[in-house]
Amino acid sequence: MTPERPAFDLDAVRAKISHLHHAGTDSGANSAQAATLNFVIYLDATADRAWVLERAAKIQQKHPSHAIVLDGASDAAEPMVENCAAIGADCSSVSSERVTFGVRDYGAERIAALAYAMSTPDLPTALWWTSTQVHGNPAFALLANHATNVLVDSSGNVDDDGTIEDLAAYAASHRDGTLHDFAWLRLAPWHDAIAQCFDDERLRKELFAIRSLTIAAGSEAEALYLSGWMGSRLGWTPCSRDAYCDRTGARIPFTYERRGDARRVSSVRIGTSAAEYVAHFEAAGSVLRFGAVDGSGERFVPLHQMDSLSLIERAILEPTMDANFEEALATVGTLLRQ
Amino acid sequence: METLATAEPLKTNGAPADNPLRAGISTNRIAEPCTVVFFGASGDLVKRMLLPAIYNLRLGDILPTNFAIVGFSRSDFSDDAFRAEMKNSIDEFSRSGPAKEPLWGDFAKRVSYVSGDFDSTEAFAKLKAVLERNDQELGTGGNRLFYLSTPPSVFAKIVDQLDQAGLGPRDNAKGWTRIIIEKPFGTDLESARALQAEVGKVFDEKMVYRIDHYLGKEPVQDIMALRFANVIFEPIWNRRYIDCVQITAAETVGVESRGGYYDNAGALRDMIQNHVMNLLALVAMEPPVSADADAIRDEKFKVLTAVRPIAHADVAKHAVRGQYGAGNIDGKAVPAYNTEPNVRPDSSTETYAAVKLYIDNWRWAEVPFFLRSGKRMARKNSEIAVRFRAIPHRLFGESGDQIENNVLVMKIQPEEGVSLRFAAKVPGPKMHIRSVNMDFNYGTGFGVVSAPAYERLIGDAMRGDATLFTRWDAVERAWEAVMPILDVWQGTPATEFPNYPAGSQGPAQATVLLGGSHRASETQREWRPI
Repeated sequence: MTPERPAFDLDAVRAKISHLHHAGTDSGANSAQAATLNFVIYLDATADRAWVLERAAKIQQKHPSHAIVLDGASDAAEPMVENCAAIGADCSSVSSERVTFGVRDYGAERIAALAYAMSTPDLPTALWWTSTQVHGNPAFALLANHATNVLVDSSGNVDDDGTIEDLAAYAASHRDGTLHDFAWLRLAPWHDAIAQCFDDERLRKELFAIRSLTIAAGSEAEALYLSGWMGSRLGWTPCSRDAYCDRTGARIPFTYERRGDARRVSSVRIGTSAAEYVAHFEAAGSVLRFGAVDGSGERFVPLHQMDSLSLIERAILEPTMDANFEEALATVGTLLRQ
Repeated sequence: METLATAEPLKTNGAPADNPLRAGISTNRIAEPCTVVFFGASGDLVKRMLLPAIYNLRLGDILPTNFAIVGFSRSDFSDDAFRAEMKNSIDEFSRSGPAKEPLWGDFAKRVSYVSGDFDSTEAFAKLKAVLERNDQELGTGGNRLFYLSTPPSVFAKIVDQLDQAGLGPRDNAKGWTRIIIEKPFGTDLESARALQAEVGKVFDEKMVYRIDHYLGKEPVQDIMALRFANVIFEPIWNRRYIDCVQITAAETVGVESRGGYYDNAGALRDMIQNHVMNLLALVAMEPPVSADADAIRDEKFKVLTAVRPIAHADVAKHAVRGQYGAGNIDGKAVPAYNTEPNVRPDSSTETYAAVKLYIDNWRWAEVPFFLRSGKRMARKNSEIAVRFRAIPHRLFGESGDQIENNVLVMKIQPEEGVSLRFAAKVPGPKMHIRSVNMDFNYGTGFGVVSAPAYERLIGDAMRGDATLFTRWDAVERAWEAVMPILDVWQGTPATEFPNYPAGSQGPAQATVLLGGSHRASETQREWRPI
């Protein structure tokens, strides 16, 4: 059995942070420092570290914050304390710092306690959980309990559906929490695009005669969420692991096809009692082409892929949970439990 | 009786439900299917601003998939020729760069053109046929937005022709009908009322969108956010704490190719009556009860109603006019106004106007509002500067330190943001006081570039949001406020013109308006440097 690692000297960490702040004001700069956020980042993949820290730094440049990085891939004995210069911010006016703890082999309770102890009271706490393991990781639930906003990415995991099932259970039991999922946030342009295709009154009735739904995506989470969104908006209920039923009880088989890049939807095929419609990308992913498979009624919708930074920003600042997400998550959760 | 289950929820009147997929989409910005008709489609505004704007609305996913564009003007274009013109406009003027495939190809299929005079019954009959065809073939649902980008002299004629052709709202049971009317809405109070009478015969007020592109600018919309989304400003936003308000709309450009129009208009009609009065209303109105369009426009109307009328005999104490002579802008020599193309050499038209107004209500009693606008000024600068009163008792400051009044500046263009000027101690052993600026800039603060005003406003009209458009009652009040000045200026040819060189701060006489404060403790007022 591996002996438990010694605890970090948090007083020393706090002293270093205080020293950094004073160094900023001693330089003669007119320092009006204020932080708006505790920003807790959990990571456990060395390959992702640079990407995650770069984006976190950009968020901190814009939103002065205390970042607490919990590095599950590191067992560094000493925490690393960095000032605002490390994140590319102007130390004379921005109060942002980053403290990185190597927490490999740390237990979930100790990780959560560490984050809690290093957080500034009275500030909201955003948790960015970058690990591909949400499902079954006890640290997630403990850190999430401490956060006002939680951002995960259920997409591209070993077990997308298990993750979403976990998230659905988490959301159901934490109604006051604000949960966001990258996999859902990335779908916003698809929601817009598909919705507006049915603004045409001539097509509207087709929405209520859907008999099959096939979604091709590079990872399962996006397909599940898109089906859950349509289902919850159209009053469908999951009636088996691979089908919804509409208000009349008519069965709507739902098929996921793994195709294309991970975290991207490739196409949506909607079969109705009268026709079959397909939406897919054109022009290197910037335009959605939608129409009947026989080519009639074709239309194009510009598709705005949002950059990950904007999505992170939205997730950590949004004060409430997106009601559509809540409903779609609940619908998919029910589907997965069938 | 057994009720058959249906997958489709019905409205209580039995009509099909709204699109359920739209519900709760946080970016619910997409307009309903519709056709947009541009009258004056071969004009400069359409070419430079409106066509690029509508294309960018498409790129921005604000135009619905079922849309159509129809150009209407006297110029003789085929559909294809107009599409080519439109593509050239987009390629040259669009902020998103040249038109791109496949979106442009899809867009172009929805563009058509009707050639004809504005008094041609046949041309309007042809327009009607095109609109009905669009409804059939492009699914535009009978929804029509008419955009009058024409000389004001034909506004009434177009409205009448629309009605005669059966294109008015009373003949359109299938969808909505809206009309956007460019400024100026009339050339004086009388003509504005006459135009309104004609427009009102065909369109209800809720269908009329009088566009003032200033209101579509992000910083102008931020005025309301600054005032009503913060608790720190509103308690001091009144006569107890504010000494005066200066609203400036200064341009470096001259009349360009608009000499013919401008020489019959002048700065008072072209800028003060609409843009600047709208800014005054936003900065001075009471908090609306909601963000609803009419709630906001009610308050704008009320504050314009409270503007103290200027007696004809007092115009000289309340208004100063100017006309630019030759000078230098950015080191380049520019000609005098009266030598510009299509301008009368003996013109008395003002290219600069400064006006002092008072608002007679509890909030603003005896607080002067100084409005000014000019062409060929030293710098392009539009802003609202709220100057607060002086401190009541001086505690700090070494001899020679001047403690300036606090000033809150809402910067509209070219800079976009907010700046607060306040006193601070200069570091060191002595208690020296100096004024410093605390700045917020839209570009760096939010890291985004604001969309051009026309994009915002056309999108709003398509969605039926009239918040940023001017209601008739406010237009009428604004005309009433400036009419005495117009009357006097028109009746008294200017003998002193030109009275400011191009590239300057404007005529020196404008300083007279500022006077001293009515309060003995206040420091001398000055125009903010342009």
